[in-house]
Amino acid sequence: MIPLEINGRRRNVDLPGETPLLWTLRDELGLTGTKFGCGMALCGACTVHLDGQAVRSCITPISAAANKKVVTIEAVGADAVGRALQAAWVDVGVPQCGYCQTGQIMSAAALLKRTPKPTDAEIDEAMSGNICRCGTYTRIRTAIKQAAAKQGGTR
Amino acid sequence: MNAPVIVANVSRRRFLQGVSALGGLVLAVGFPSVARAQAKKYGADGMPNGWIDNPLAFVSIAEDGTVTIVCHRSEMGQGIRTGMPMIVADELEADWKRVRVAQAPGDEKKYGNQDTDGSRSTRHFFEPMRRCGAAARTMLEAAAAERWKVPVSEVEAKNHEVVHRASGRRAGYGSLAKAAASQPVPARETLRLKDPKQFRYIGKGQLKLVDGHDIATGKAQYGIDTRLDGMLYAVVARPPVYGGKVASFDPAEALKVPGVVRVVQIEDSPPPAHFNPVGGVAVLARNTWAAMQGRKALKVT
Repeated sequence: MIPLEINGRRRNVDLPGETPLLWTLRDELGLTGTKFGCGMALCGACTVHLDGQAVRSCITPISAAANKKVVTIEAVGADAVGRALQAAWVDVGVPQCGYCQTGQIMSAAALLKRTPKPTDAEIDEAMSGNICRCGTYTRIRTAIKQAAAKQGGTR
Repeated sequence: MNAPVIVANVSRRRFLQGVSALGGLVLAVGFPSVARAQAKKYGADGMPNGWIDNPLAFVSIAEDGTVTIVCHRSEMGQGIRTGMPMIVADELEADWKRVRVAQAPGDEKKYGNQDTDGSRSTRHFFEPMRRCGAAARTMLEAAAAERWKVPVSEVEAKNHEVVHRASGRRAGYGSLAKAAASQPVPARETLRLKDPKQFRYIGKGQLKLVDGHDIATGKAQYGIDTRLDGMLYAVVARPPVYGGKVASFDPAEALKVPGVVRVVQIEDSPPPAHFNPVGGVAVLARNTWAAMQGRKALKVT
């Protein structure tokens, strides 16, 4: 049994320790908002927070997540930063197909929590690991700025 | 329209099954296959099961005024779950804030062609969807005229209500829904479509994706998110070349992977496979990761 804390809730999972967090979330715990893209930490679709850091859940073994706080897209809206980002995503109309967007929002939330007033360069750097095949990058940047402004942070 | 169209109150069970699970729906129908013999030939006519423009298949109105519009094409990022209902809502003079979108089940007899590819949805269904909206609007106008005992030419549907210009009387769509359901579906050639200059939504670029909130909160369901009771996850070893056949396979190592449940061979579709599945050996497991590891351990020749 590996003790996990997912979105504030204790979950003990009976899986090999090398099982990636992604598949544990999706297939064992039913949290399908975290997406499978490449399985090799190249695309960012599977991004979650591990003790507040954005990590790629597809290459994060659950043994490395034991006794740490995991937050997924299902709970990122529980705080003001996540809520502001989700609202901005809808308002700006960021998604096209939307498949990568939960990962985008998780990366953006980690960014705004450590850098409430990001510059364009800081946004680009923080978001460069999240690929969007629909090419919504300019709207993503707009939405991050809008959320940052709502949080009182603009540059 | 020559075929008989049976209009009925939606509170009947079959309509709830057919159009949506919302309660209190009053505009919906069960109808025999709609005649389209005399319809003009274009677009979806060339596709299996063609098109349907019966409003009763696509539009239902609840007594609280909520309009539910069925989208019969598949969403895959092109925004069709917003686009198709937008076309209907525009002709219907519905207030978009009171529109809900319901996804159609696969039922081409009821909805027309549902093969969502080739950038065909809007090209083929723009006019049928406009006619759906216009027909439903006409039925609401007829119901209002009947209630007020005035000629239908004196009433006009506008922004979710029908107005009698001379007297200033108005009635919301919700209050008219039940009476509208007993109006005949107007003949296609009698429909009055909007002048494009009157469009409220089409071409305005103002509406957001209907699924935007669900996408941003992780609730949107993609194909990969389907979950059924007791389902397993499969990863399939495919032939390395097209038309390749499995000579033999040894599942022993794959079955040793924790979580792997079964290994099964999938029959091949002889070339040309078209859209049929190509064969291979599938590893079934309790989660995708275990299936992937089982697939790696599999020996296939």
